[in-house]
Order: sequence, then structure tokens, then C-alpha cells
Amino acid sequence: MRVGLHRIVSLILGIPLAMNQLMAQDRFPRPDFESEYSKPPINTPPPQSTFYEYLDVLILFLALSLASYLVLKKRSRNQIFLLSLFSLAYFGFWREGCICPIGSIQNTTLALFDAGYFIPLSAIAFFILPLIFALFFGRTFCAAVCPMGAAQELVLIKPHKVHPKVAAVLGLLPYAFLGAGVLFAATGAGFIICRLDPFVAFFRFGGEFKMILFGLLFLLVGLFYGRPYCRFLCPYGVLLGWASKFSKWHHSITPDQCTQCKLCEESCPFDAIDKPEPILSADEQKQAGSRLGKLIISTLVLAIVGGGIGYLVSMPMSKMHPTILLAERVMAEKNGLVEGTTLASRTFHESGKLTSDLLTEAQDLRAKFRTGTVLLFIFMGLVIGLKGIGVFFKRTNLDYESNRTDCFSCGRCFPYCPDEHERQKVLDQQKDLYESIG
Amino acid sequence: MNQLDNAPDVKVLFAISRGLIVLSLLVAIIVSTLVLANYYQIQRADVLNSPSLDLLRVELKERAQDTILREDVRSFHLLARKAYFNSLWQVKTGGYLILGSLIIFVLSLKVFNSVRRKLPDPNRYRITPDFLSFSHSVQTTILTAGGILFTSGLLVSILSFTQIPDPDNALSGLDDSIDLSQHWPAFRGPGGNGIAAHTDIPTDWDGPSGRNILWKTPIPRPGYSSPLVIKDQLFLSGGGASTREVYCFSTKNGELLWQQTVPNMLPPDAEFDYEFVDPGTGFAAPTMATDGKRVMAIFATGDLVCYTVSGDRAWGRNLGLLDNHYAHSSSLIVHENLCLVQYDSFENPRLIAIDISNGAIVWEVSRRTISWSSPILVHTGERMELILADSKSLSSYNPETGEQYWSNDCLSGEVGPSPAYTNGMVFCANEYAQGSGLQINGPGTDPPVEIMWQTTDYLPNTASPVAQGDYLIMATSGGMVSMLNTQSGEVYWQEYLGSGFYSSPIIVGNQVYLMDLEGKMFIFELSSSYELVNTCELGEPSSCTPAFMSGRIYIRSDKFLYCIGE
Repeated sequence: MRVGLHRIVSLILGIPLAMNQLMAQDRFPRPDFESEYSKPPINTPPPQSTFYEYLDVLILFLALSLASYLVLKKRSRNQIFLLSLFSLAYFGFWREGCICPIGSIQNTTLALFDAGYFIPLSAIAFFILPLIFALFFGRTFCAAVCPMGAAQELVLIKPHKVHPKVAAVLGLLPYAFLGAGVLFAATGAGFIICRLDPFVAFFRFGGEFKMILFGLLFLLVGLFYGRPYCRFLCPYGVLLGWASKFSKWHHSITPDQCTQCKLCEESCPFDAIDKPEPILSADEQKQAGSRLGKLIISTLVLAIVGGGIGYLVSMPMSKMHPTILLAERVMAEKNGLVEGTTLASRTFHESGKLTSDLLTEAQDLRAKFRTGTVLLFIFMGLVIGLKGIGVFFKRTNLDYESNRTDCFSCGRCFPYCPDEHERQKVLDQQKDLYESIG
Repeated sequence: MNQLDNAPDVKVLFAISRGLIVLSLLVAIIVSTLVLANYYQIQRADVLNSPSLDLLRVELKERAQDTILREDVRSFHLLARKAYFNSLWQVKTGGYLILGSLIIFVLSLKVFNSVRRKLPDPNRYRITPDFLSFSHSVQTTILTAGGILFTSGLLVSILSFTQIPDPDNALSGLDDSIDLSQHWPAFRGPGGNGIAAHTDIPTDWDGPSGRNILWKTPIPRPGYSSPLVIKDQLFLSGGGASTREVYCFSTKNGELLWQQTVPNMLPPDAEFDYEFVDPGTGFAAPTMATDGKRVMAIFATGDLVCYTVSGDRAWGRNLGLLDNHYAHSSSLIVHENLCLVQYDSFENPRLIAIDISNGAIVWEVSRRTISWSSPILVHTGERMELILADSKSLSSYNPETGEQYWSNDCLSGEVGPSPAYTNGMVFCANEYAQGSGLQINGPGTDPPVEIMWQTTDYLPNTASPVAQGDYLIMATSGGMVSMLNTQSGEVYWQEYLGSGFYSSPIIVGNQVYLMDLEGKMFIFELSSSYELVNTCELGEPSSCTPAFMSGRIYIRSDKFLYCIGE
């Protein structure tokens, strides 16, 4: 009996979480009786009650409200952390990570592009509520409501800084993931954001081996580099960042005036604190202006080139759509390029459907993919260019400030501010006073 | 400076967390090792596929009545299952133990690190490089990354290939995109009108001597359904009380390419009287129909089935029991994506449209009474009309929606012949009733259709009339053939030919092909005087209507399929 290497690795790395999956894969086959026994019918459980969906929305709303209060008013890192543990327990382990705002991007996209898709109200609420809160209060969803963020917060033991250049490059990934997620959902290719959810296997105590491995990788990296998924992959974080950038109120490091004591400078494990920068001299401004002009031109060139590359890449990318993949396989079998059949191609042949119909469908889908991929690569060209330009505009502040786009509002920096300690003292004194008055 | 230096109580916390780190890690490693070993053992032992158990199973098949052996197998199986599930339970429990210890490990580590956390010391912070040079290097890095991304995309696209043709390239050679008017897709050809698109048809052959008989092949089961021809494939149905089948033959050599047995789709509680089916009609009287990609067949049982031209079953359904004393014989016809079924019966007669892609009923409309004739599809100048004859009337429907355009009570008796159409006029006839020529006045007119002439002489019983231009041909089961003027009903000529006609006449160019019950084909000119071109013997009886395509005639006799060509 051969024991697959992946099984061994799975056991070593993911035993606790892979157990249910192993059980599911190796489930004992149903006894094969030739007579005397009729196999009981397989019962499919009814769909979950909508009550839980509305309850989820209510709890999301309450959690977002509480998180915003704790971040902006209470300024309590410990209570934010406790709330995130609750979110991890409820949205993560109890509700098994579904539905979540990150995945709801795809539900929303599919609903926009496929009139036949019925999107649950809860999915719409999960998509919109955190964005609305971000518009008013910053990324308080990331701070204490997102179970994936909470899991990474929990394992962050010894934070290290990511080199700015590495961070800048990795920072492009969420945009690409967002674009790909929208493209795949719009074309019906699937929900890749969910398929590449590294934590859902943990929340459900079971999942595909590669997903468990993927999740473990993030958790291992997360021991030393804070929130790697949130910073370098989360597509919803892009939308939250955009909303948070224009938020009416936002998390601040100090409750008062920044004294530029520098004590908070290294407090953020996510590199989301913008330091004050000296004003550029006239020469430097001229130099920067010249470079800015070049960058703007580069951005336009990148967008145009990106569109061309997107047109070319659409063919290989479209193969991720199951229908196109099936059509490729069926044609490869027909043309004698491959031997044998796959489960999908066998099912297709047995269904009696026509190869020409399959090809027509695949061609239509590929045309949609072509449009989508061109737009995706134009988008990526713009993102790359604008990210470069953004480096200039990132550092125009005069005080130590949390970066409105990148800051998760986790409150780790609160205790580093001397003014915060003063505020706490005042609060304590007020509390003592109220107690003495009775 | 860290918290341990000035907080003695924290030292206890430090010690505890350090101990827990070591302990939890040890537990995790030990349990992991045990679980791994256990899992390996499960896989290695493979208790579920034990050779001993397999041997016992084989033995039990040979000694099926041996109850002791049966019990032994069950006991052994139970033991194996217990061992298997026990091991799985151990693995699962071990997994939870590891999970617990890892959680303790992480939490302890967090506490351990927090108590060792140093106070911030700005003097030791890294120095931010010059803004412009820093931003320049970051920008260069981002642009380089973008360049790598795009170059990678370009490389991937260059190295990729696809098997899916461009939309501009026709998908011919697969299974679709054919002009049905150039094939023989239904009873009496395209639209069921009895007019062949191909005129290069032989006029001379002899079955007994084999002259111009390209091939002859046996048909597995009997049936009165006529052949369909699409490209180089010919389709037939056949069957009896026990089995109904669909056949596909190669037109090149008559090879039976595939043969599918149609499953019985009657509902379990349906009481179909197999003995009641008239042998003169049989179980496979209706001719099949095709959209060029799929072929549909219907049988006396009401089973309607669809196969792809390559023989894969697409769908099947039973349309319900019929109250029909001869058995169902109306042929199918296809309009775009719909398979239209004239499902006439004494009870609940219906016209049903089935979605060819999935077998779903798209629409169905009630009809008045029974018939045995087949529908025709014609374009009357302004619209497509589906024209049906039944035992009382001639009716026209919208083939897309089932809306009835018009109806005229010009028929009676047990109607078998199908209608004929030419130049805005439609014709119907039935033995012992009357033959009629009706003018279709078009939409919005009153009346929408009116009878222009009627006749009661020499009317067909089974063979359907056919019309083109000024000529209408009718052939009776007694052997009389009449050529009439379509406008007035005037008889141009009448001749007794052959032994009687069940097969319908087909117009090929300026000639008419009409085969009698003995298999003798009469070929005569489509003209106002009788001008015989030739008579050709098949050598055996036939009641089916031949198919004419690409220089060939395909004839189903009682037992064989013939291909005639030069």
C-alpha cells in the first residue's frame, strides 16, 4: 500500500485540521449486499434557515458598531482584541467563515453580471456594511470583526518589518486578486476568492490538503510578519482601503496633539504609520515634479500595454473556467492529443450533449474572458503606475499618523503614545471621583 | 530594558509561559508521531481490502446458499470496520490533542514575548533614507514588478495553445451547422412536404439482379418508420412489444454504426396493453426527426427519446398513454429548437413542443380528436405554419408558440394521409371522405382560409398527397394514382398503377417517385398527361416512404434497408 507523500506532509503540518477531511475521504464504503437488504436513501439536509442569515447581519452590524466605538471613542486595544476573539469564534468557527464580506465581492459581482443569479440579502449586507463603516470610521472591520484578521492577530508573536520594496511589490497582489476575483465571478468561472481562502479549512476543521497547507503557510508567516493575508492578498482590503482613505473619522495614534516623541514609530507591525517628513527644497520639488511627469506617462503606457497583454493572456486565463477546460479536454480527446478520459469528459459524453454546443458555449465564454482580461490588465497597469505615483503622496504629513488606507485600526499603537497614558490617568481619576461621590 | 527588570511578579508569568511552551511543544510532537504512525498503519494494513476477505467473498459467490459462510463474511467485515473506524477515531482524537497543544503553545509564546517586550527606544530606530532616493528606488521596484508581471503574462500566452477553434471557423465536422433543407430530416423530407432538394436521383435499378443497388443491409427490428438522412448517417427506428430501438447506419456502406435500445419510460403504474397495438401499425410507425445534431424517435408506447447523431442518449420522456385503436403513427417534425409532436388520441389529443436540447415541454395545446397523419411545416409567404390534419379538420398553428392560426372542418373518418402545400394552397384528403384544396388567405383576413374545391373520387387511405405548382398527386391504397390541378381540382389524369400505395409520392425535380406495396417504383413526369419514365423493382414489399438525397434513394423494406445509386 503506497502512502502518498502529500498525506504524510498533511499529517505533519495539518493533522488537527485535516482529520475531518481524511475521515471524509476515507469514509468506509457502504456495505455491498446482494440481497435481503435495501440500502437506505441518502437524505439531503434542508437548506439553512434564513433566520441565521439575518442574525449574522445583525451581529455584523453590532460588531462593527462596537468595534468603531472601541477604536474611536474607547481607544482600548485590549477590548478590540477581545472583540476580535469573539468575531473569530462566531464568524470563523461557529459560522465556519461563510458568508464573509471578502467572499461577498463575488456574490455581488455575479449578481451584477448574471440576471439568473439570486443574491441573498445577507450577502449584499455583508458586502456593503463594512464599506459604509469604513467610509465613516476607517477599517474597523479589519480591527475586530474579520475572523481572518483575528486569526492572524492571534498568532502574531514576534513581529518583524517587511522591507519597503518587498511590501510595495507584494502590495500589488490584493489588486490583482480583486480583479481576478471579479473577472472570474463575472464570467461564471467560479469564486476563486473563496477557493483560495486560506483560513476556511481551519474554521471548518477540514478542507482540501492544499488549502490547509496554504493556511498553515499564512499562519507560519503570520508568526513573524503581521497579517500577511490582510496586507498582501485580501481583495476586500483594497475596497476598504479606498473607503477608509476618505473616512469622516479615523483611528488616530494620539488622542491629542502629536508631540513627535517618536515612541510610536516602530509600534505598528503592519507598517501603517506615516512618519512626518521634512518639506522638500525647491530643487527637490523640481526633481520630484520631473519624475512625477515620467510616472504619469509610464502609467498610461502601462495601461495600454496591459490591455494588449490582457488580450493575449485571456486564452490561457480562460482555461480556469470549468466549461472552457472541459471543452479543451473534449477537443484534445477528439484530436487524439490525450489518451483516455477524465471524469468531467466522461460525464459530458454520457450526458448526450453536443460537442458543438459545448464549443459554442466555450467560445462565448472566452469572448467574455477576453473583454474581462483586457480590463483586468488595464486596471493592473493603472494600479502599478498609480502605486508608484502614490509613493510621493504618501509622505506629506507633518505628524505621526496612521495611514488611512493601510491602517487596520487595531489599536496596537495606542499604549505607545504618552498622551494616551495621560488620558487614561484622567479617566481613572474621573472614575475614582465618581466612585467617591457615590 | 524590559518588563522583567522591574517587575518581579512578571518573572513568575515568564517562567510559567516558558514551561508551557516546552510542554505543549513536546505534547504536539509526541502525539503527532503517534498519529502519524497510526495513520501509516491504517494505510498499510488496508483492512477494508483484506485479501482474506476478498477470498471469502469469492467463495460466497460460488456458495451463495451457505449461510455459515455468509455469517463468517459478515463477522469478518464487521471486525475490519471496527478496526478501521477505531483507528480513524484515534487519528481524529490525536488531531484535536495536537490542536489544543498548539493553541497553548501559541498563547504561551505570546505571553512569553509580551513580558519580554522592551520599551520603545527611538534612538535605536532605523534611519529613514533620503525621501527622493527612497521613493525612486521603491518606484523602480514597483515598475520592475509590473514589467515582470506583464512579461510573464506574455510568455504564458505565447506558450499556451488551445483546442477550441475561433468562432469564425465553422464547427463543421463535429455535429452541427447543417442546412436541413439539403438533407432528409423528417418524414417526406424537409418540412414533410414530399419534395426532394436533390434531383440527381437514379431512375433505373433492379433489386433482384442488384443493378444499381449500392448496398443492402438487414434492419434488426421491424417498423414502418421511414429513413432520415443527415450527411452520411441514416437513422431508423424499429421494435416490438419487448424492445424498441434506434439505429444509425452509414450511408457509405450500410454499416450499422450504432444501435440503442430505448428504455421503457412508461410510468410504473401505467397500464399499456402491448397486445392491443395493431400489427399493421406496429410500435415504430412514426418516422424520426432531426435538427442535424440530434435525432428524436417516438414509439407506440408514448416513449419519446433523443440521441445525438453520435449515439449518445440526450434525454427521454414518456408523453402519456394514448387512446388509439391502431397505435400511434404520426411522425415527428423539427422547427428550430423544438421537436413538434402531433399527439392525437381519442382522449386528451395534444400538440406538444419539446425543447430538443433538454426534452422539456415548451408548450402544448389541446386538439380536437384522433388522427394518424403527420404534420407539415410550410412558409405561407408571411409566416411559418404548422399544418395538421385530424379526423375532423385541417388546422394551422404557430410552430413557435402553439397558437392556432386557423382551422377548417373539411375532413372526416380515420385520417392517415398528411396535408400537402404549394403556392398558398393546402390540400388534404382521406378515403371515404373528401379531398379539398384550401386557399390560405393570410393573417388578418376573414376567413383566414377557404375551400376552393373538393372531390370525392379516388382518395388516399395512407399515402399522403404531394403538390408542386399546378400539380397535385394522390395515390390510393387500391392502386389508383390521380394528377389534379391544384387551383381547380380538375383531374388531369388517373391511372391504375401497381398493387396499392402506402408509401407517399415524392417529387424529384420534374418527376414523381411512387412505390407500391410490392416494392415497385413508378417514376413518371409531373405533367398534365401521364408519361411514365420507368418502373423499377425492389424485389420485396415495402410500405415506407423512401428518402432521396445526393444521388441516392434509401428504401426500407420489411427486413432490409436498400441504397440505390449509380
